[in-house]
Amino acid sequence: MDFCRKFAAIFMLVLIAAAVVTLPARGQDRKPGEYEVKAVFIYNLAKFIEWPDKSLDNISTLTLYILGEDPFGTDLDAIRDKLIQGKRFVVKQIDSPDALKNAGILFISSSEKERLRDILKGISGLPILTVGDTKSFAQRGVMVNFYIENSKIRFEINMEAANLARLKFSSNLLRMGTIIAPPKGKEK
Amino acid sequence: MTKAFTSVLARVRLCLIKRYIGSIILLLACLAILSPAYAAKSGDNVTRDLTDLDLKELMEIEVVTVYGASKFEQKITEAPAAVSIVTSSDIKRYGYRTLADIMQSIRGFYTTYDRNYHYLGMRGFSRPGDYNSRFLLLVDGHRVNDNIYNTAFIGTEFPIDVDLIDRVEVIRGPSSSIYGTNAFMGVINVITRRVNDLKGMEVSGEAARYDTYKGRLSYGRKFENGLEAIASGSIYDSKGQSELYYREFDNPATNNGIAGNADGDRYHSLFSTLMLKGLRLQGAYVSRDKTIPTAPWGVEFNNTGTKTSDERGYLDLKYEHIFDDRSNITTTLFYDYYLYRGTYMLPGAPNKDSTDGRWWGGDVKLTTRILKRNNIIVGGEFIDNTKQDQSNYDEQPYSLYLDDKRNSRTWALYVQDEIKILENLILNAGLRHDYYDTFGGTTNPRVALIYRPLEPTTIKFLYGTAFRAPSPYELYYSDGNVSSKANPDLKPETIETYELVLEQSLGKGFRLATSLFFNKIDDLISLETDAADGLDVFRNIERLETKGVELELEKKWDNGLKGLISYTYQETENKQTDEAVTNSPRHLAKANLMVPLLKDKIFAGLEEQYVSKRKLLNGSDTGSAFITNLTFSAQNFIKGMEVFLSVYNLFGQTYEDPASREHNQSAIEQDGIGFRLKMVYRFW
Repeated sequence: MDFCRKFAAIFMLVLIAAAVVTLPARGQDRKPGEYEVKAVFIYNLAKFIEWPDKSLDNISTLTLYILGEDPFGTDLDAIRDKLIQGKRFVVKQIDSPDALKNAGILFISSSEKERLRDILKGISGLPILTVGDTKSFAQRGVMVNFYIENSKIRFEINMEAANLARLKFSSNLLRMGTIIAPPKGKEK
Repeated sequence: MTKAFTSVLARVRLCLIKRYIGSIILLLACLAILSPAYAAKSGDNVTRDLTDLDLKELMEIEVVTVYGASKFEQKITEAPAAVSIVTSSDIKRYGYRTLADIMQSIRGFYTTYDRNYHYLGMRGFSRPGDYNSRFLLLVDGHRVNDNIYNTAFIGTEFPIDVDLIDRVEVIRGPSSSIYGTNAFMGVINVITRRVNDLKGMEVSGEAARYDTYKGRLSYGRKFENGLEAIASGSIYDSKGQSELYYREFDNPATNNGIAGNADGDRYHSLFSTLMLKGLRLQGAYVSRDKTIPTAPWGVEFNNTGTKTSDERGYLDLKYEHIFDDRSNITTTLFYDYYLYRGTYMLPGAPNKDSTDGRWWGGDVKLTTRILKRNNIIVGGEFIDNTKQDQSNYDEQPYSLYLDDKRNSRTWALYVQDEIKILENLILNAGLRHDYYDTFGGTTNPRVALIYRPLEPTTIKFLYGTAFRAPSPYELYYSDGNVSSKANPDLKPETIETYELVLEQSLGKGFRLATSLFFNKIDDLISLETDAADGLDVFRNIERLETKGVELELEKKWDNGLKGLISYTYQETENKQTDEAVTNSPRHLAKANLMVPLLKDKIFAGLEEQYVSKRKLLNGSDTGSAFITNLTFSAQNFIKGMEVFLSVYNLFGQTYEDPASREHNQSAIEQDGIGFRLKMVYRFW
């Protein structure tokens, strides 16, 4: 029957193609998810940032605090315990900025947008790199804010906020991001 | 649901589900056999490699999102439709020349070319001669379909050079609930490149078989004050095949069926975008001339005077205001025009057919997340068609057959809510009301339930209806009642669709996407001959039903190797006559393989496309076609330079596409083997 022959022919094609696609299976192969990339991004960011004198001296770890709903899940496993600037990278989930003890990195989840102002107030002046991925977070005082443009991850930098925390961003980092100047005196 | 409908569903279900499950089992079986490590836990390898990347490389990784399905950026797995994305790297590495080439590569799509326009088909439906009015074509959100034929231009008459495309989102199924008319079979949203990808000057030149040449010059710059500017121009000139043979004209009076130098195609196009803060001004323009070798509408054969010329342009001003991180409002104002001139060398008197379409309009869209777990969109649209003029006349001796001047207005209101009922359960529901001063109002819903029982598994249940308003061409065109007459009483045609989508990540870089679909088209506007006076007229006559299944398997490696295979089975039936429908292949199969031959330097893109036989208007059918395209691309040898070498229809297969009724030919032969050499150079 013509129909059966065609059907069989097409499935042969599918099988052959599947074989072609499958055979050279060698490890590394999954398409990375958004937060997988963002996690590695944050880890890499830290390499381009200089914390103020002595703020990291007495601690052997660099901590990434996740404030609010954790969008990363297991995506953070890849960067846990890696060494960075001679320190072990640690991830902690926290519910309140009061839990912040040391210098480090604070990722503010979009679930915290209502209390962003209070959060930033609570840590103002502390040597903490703030990171977010919610629209308008950079304008509102978060130092590094991810956004997606044409499917690729981009980031905004709020220089004023970084200066206030006495964090130094390398010029390479500044070149890769979009610099946002916060509207002065209009903080909501 | 009516009784008849239920019984149809029952009949469909058995045959379809059997085939669907069978196919999935087969695919899974072949996966299990071929990938012994299939069950192994994946992830570690990938992430280890990711952490080796630096920031610059991380910024190049694509995280897949889609905008066009819901009018906001969302993950493909959360979109209320089965979505496919083609990226700029696919366009380069597979050597796609037109939007038609791109569409042809996508699961479930097929194209038809009559050597004048390209027609798009999907889910068993394609009407050569309908100017793709059952698809909505958008460029950066701007509606490209014109206001006379509602053409979705996908061939060389598409205003945007494919080199300027960042990605193409293809949203299957009806989306009238947010887009209104034409979002009938699907929506194609073309997103253009931004300044981040187009910095400085870019020059491109290409030469191809049949004396085909194309040149492009593009410039992009980001200014200190934040202004982003892109400008680009392209010129294309193709002589086409110097001799085309049509057996229907094979007699001495018509040059033994040979049309000489009658396949010419040329266009020039311009595109520009300016962006500053929330403001964007975009302009596009294309003018194309195509000589028609097939002698449609009874014109003289082998007369190179028969041609069409299409000119399309628009300006689109968009402003986005962000209130806070939860709400934003977008307003758009646009002005569009479309000019068409056709010259038809009828024996004795050249006939001119022309249209002049002009329209302007605007829309407002508010997106807000003020309610927890809800993403609400409310919008309104207004279009004022200031001109929808059609005319037809003989030049010498002058004789006027049609001088129809129209204008019309439409407005629409829509609302959509995406509700996260549970962390892994999303309800996306939308409703839109459109009002036309021609036929009145129509309301269309779409409901999607998106369930993610496990991290790698997404199941979508989709229901929607859509409409297509009759176009001014269908309503008012006539050639003075010589062979066709107008029908101003046409109603919109409608579609109702049910779809079940399964998207499954299989680990080890495998992704499986399957769809089971059922479409019901009613009041389809079709051309028929009125028995009373012998004149052709458009009427709401046909009722079609399509059922089918789609399977797609994708695998990606971090080293750039990637493979994609898909298979579509579909059955479309005319419910009036219980007959199969023309230009509706039962089987479509596609395989794409991209191989990096030399890391970051040389790539090979191999493409296989199978289309089974398609029924013709005269009752016979075209044979099946199996087309192979191969493209080699080279980069990073000379800084800023890329070279591409493509071979199309590698095995020179002879195949035909079904022709529409204005042709004497029942099917039109397509090009044999073709070559193209292309070079791109970037200055910084």
